[in-house]
Amino acid sequence: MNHGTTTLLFIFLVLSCACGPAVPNSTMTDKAGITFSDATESSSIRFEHIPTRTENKLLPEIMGSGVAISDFDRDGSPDVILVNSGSVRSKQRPSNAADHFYLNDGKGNFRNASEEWNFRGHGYGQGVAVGDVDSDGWTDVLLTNFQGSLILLKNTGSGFLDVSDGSGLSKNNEWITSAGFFDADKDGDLDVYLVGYVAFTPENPRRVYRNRMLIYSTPIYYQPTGDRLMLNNGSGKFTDATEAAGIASAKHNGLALAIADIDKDGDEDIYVANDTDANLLWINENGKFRDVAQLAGVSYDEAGREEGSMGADVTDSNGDGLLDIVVTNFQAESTALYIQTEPMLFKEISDAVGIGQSARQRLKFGVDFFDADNDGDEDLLVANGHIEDTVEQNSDSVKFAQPNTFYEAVGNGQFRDISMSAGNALADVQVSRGLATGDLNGDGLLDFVINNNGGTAQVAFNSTGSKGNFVVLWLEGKKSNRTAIGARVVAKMGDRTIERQVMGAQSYLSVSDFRLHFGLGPADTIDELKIYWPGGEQQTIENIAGNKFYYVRQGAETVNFVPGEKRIEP
Amino acid sequence: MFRKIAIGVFSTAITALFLSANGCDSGGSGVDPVTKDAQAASQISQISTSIRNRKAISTEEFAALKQLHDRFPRSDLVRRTYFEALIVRGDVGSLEKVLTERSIAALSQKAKLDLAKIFKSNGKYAECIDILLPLAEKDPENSEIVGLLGVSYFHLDEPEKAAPFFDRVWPRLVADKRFEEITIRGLIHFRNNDLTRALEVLKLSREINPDQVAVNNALSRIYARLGDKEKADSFRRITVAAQDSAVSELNRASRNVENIIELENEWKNKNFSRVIELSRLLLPGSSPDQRTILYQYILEAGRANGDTAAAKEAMNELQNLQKR
Repeated sequence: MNHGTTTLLFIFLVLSCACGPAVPNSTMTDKAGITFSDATESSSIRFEHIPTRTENKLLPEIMGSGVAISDFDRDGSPDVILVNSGSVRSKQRPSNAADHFYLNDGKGNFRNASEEWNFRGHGYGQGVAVGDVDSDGWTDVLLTNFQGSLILLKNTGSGFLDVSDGSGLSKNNEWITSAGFFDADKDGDLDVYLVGYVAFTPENPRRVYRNRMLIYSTPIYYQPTGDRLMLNNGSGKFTDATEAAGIASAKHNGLALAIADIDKDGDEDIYVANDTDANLLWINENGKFRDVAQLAGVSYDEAGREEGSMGADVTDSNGDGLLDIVVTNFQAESTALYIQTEPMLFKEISDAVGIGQSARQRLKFGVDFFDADNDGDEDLLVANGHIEDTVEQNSDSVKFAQPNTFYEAVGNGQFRDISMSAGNALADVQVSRGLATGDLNGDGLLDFVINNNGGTAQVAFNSTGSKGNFVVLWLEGKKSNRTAIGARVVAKMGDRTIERQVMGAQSYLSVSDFRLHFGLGPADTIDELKIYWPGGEQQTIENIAGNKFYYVRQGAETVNFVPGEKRIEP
Repeated sequence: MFRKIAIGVFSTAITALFLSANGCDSGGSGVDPVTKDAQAASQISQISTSIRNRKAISTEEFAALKQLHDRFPRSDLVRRTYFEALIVRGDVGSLEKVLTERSIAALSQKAKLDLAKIFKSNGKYAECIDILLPLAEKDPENSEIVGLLGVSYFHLDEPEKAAPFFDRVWPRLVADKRFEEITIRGLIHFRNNDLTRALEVLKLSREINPDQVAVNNALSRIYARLGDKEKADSFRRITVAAQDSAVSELNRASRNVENIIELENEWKNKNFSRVIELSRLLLPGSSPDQRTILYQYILEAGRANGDTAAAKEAMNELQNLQKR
């Protein structure tokens, strides 16, 4: 988080105004029809995030927590985890601050199965990562905490077992924010990257003031803790490989990560969004990592300044075949869009593509690129909310609770902010943090869930009327990790090509559904689908009919499924 | 004589001296509608003084100021104070709103240019260009206007439009040492892969202001692409050091504020030993004016606390400061 100062002394000289027409408002409206309807009530997801904000304004209280959308019972429909926080000064969660685990019936009707599945976090909750760490076919869960041990929950297919003890994941009370699973060393199992924030102690917090008012502080007043890489031995036991992997030297105020094969060399790279610090781009070189962010142009803003970076995601935003990076930043900073102009060289062009201006009016956290109208390009959703709960006493134009922002991709890499016309879900005004997407109701359109700090989690169903066709792929590795994190899929329809990756992490403290969603536009068939499995194996499938859901086990024939209809056994 | 100074004044004065919000200069006022209302005039004077001294404005003061702003829409004095208040509150959005609720066409050239700068700071580059293009037509050699046009086009990723503006007034930009514009011209060369020209221009900008992170960061990237790892790393280290230095300065300033507020509270709580401790903590690096106030705190606290050694030492220091 960044509290920038603004040099505006020249304003004093602006005194000669008279009456007349106002400057036209540049806010764009949209008739394209992308619409999200608030489905919090109908979904039966009832989640209140409890941050227990105190008058001491302890930093963790304002950070919020994450959300995961993933299929935990293998019925083909994505389920939802919402992480709660609790009380910073207490290791025990207040009874009303439990994490929630919701099972989906495939049609977007959820039931709270936390008790039934023994889903239980403790400590002051932050982030969530998911993946099949023991390769048994069931997606496991990792919960991160402020000053608490990491919690590894093994999914047995009918419940969760806390296997943190003996997992090798440390209990050194570091503040871990985000985490993401991926196969760092290409040995076929899932390793985990842990993002460290700062060394904060509630007993002796810095007291930071704005306009003589105590506010939530920024991380710059604390020592960064550094990130860690934990390697899996294949059965869910982890060993610290931070030093050996080459990432030990980088200590930054980390909040989020996006994991993708950014240089498309067959292994996954990691982009880390650091708060008021240089961002990192770890290029994976056979399990060793090298930070190229500064040289590639994705470390700072265009003027070389560190920003208050909160969230990150990766996509090919302009369809040129090269992956681009989006990073959410502090109020008055843009949501940076780093376009890869040639291999591993980026330029930040958010102002030129229609994102910058409205982004500066918000403090941004969760972020996700996804194809909301199935037209084949990915739109952008950003979760907003300030960190100063007293900001309105210092500003008439900046609010603590803020509406979220939806940018429609309108072609040629351009976006437009259609938040005002994109349905009542975008009218929700809360202090938003974690954000994840997935097709919750099985209608072939991607929906979203947002975890709001001190508020009610929001479930939004995509009710876009004018939409393209789609194909959904549930990939499961055999030689490669079972969750297929790192798989890259290229779909060809006529002369059009769409590429998607199964990403181990993105957004802020959150992870979206691993199933790959292809918007086909008017095409009713994918002519050729090429799957590049982690580890290098390729698989080609031809003539995939649209508007269907497919399960693909590595090397096997595709199987149609209907979300929520029946389990596909591991 | 120091004993005669009310301690309440210390609070506001010391805060003003330490808080590093941008300095204020309100300028002159002349005959002004608000001066016809004695009570309102007094109120605006108090608020204005308070802002200037404390570099802060309380919620109550701001509410009162907004009322005055509504009551006296033609008052330059109120308007200027209102702007000052918005600046110390960091409320650039409201600042823009206030400036654009009246006719832009009727603004003076200077006011239009200032409004363009606000648009720029809010990332409204298209609006910035709309204002500046007519100004540039009238005053094509004005390096500030033309340079700002170039900057705006650059941020809209239209380097081919930005470059001619910079080139049109290039000698003036260099003569006026307008390093931001010069840097962006260099970045355009960099984006166009003209590394030789980029180096030349960025080095020129660096001669004017060697501390620019944008320049040092770009130089690092250019040398890396040229294969000069040593220089690339050197400029990268300079970039990182500059960022670290800025963070350290923010940290130091924030710690000072934290200590000042605690100092004021401890004074109110009559915890005089802690007052002396905090005052001494704040002394290193403080200016003579700040030292005067801090020694006054020590003097008063020492006297109240029976710490005659501290009081005596403070008195000596105050006399020395007065002599200087």
